[in-house]
Amino acid sequence: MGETGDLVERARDGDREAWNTLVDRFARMVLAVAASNGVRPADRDDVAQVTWLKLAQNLDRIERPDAVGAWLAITCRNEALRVQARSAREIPVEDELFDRIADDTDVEEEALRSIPDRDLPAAFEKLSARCQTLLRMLLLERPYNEIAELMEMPIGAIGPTRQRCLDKLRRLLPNRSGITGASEDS
Amino acid sequence: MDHFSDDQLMALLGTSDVVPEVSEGSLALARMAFDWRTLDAELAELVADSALDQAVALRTTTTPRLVSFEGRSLSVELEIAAHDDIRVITGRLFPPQEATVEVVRLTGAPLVVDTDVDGRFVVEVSAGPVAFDVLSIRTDWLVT
Repeated sequence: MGETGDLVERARDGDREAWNTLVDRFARMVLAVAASNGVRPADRDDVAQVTWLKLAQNLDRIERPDAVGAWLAITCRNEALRVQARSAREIPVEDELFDRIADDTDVEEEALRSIPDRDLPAAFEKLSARCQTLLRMLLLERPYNEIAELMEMPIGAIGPTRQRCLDKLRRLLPNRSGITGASEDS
Repeated sequence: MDHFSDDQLMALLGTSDVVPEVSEGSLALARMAFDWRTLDAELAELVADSALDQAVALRTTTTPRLVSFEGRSLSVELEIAAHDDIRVITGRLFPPQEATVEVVRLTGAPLVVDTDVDGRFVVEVSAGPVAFDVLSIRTDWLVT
């Protein structure tokens, strides 16, 4: 059993330090999965929190302690879908979009920033949940077997999918940002 | 300059804020989750949630959310109506019976409510994660 599996076993036996180490190791990944699946910033802590509550409650049932990262990611994605559905029930689509913008940045602050700085994150937000998840997991340097399990794809498909997602991202960027293949001047 | 390679684009993403940072508050909440473990209760799993069905259906609906938890000897069915940040939860135990339900929340003591002879109860909570202790079972956590 690897180091992560060992932490799960120790947490199971009531070792709080082991639990805290698991939290430190996976908290950002859990939050990234929530962000990739359409959860508004205001709801992300709820989704992350219920994911950790479920892990605490299910420590005895984790079949492969070494793969707890994939377990957390999949659990978080399911919770994200529930909360997203809950939000859809409460708020008309237009308001939700407005909230998302309002949550992210103060409007005045936004106006003061140079536009190209925001082009990349804004384009990224328009990618599919799958592409956002894959790219964020890669940015966090998660292990390929964990990504493969979360995405339900063979490890060999990760590279080509990364390429397709980055191509989509380029197409979503305005030309002025200089990141797209086509130049406006030539 | 007008074309970035895949690796350069990934490097740019790495220096942007597309991967959210974890706040100290969020870390503290995750650490705290360890305190809510129940060691002696049987876990009643979430087996159905109408919110997930509607996630793929039309986005406009005003019907209450229906949720079911299933334990070996007892099931709990909930109907959850949302009014701003308040959730009115109407529950029913199967098989129907009189029992005390504890609604476990992350802040404050559990809310305690008794069911009637038909196993029904009504409770009002703020939106957020809850779990239910009934007889020997503890339900999965649910974000209401």
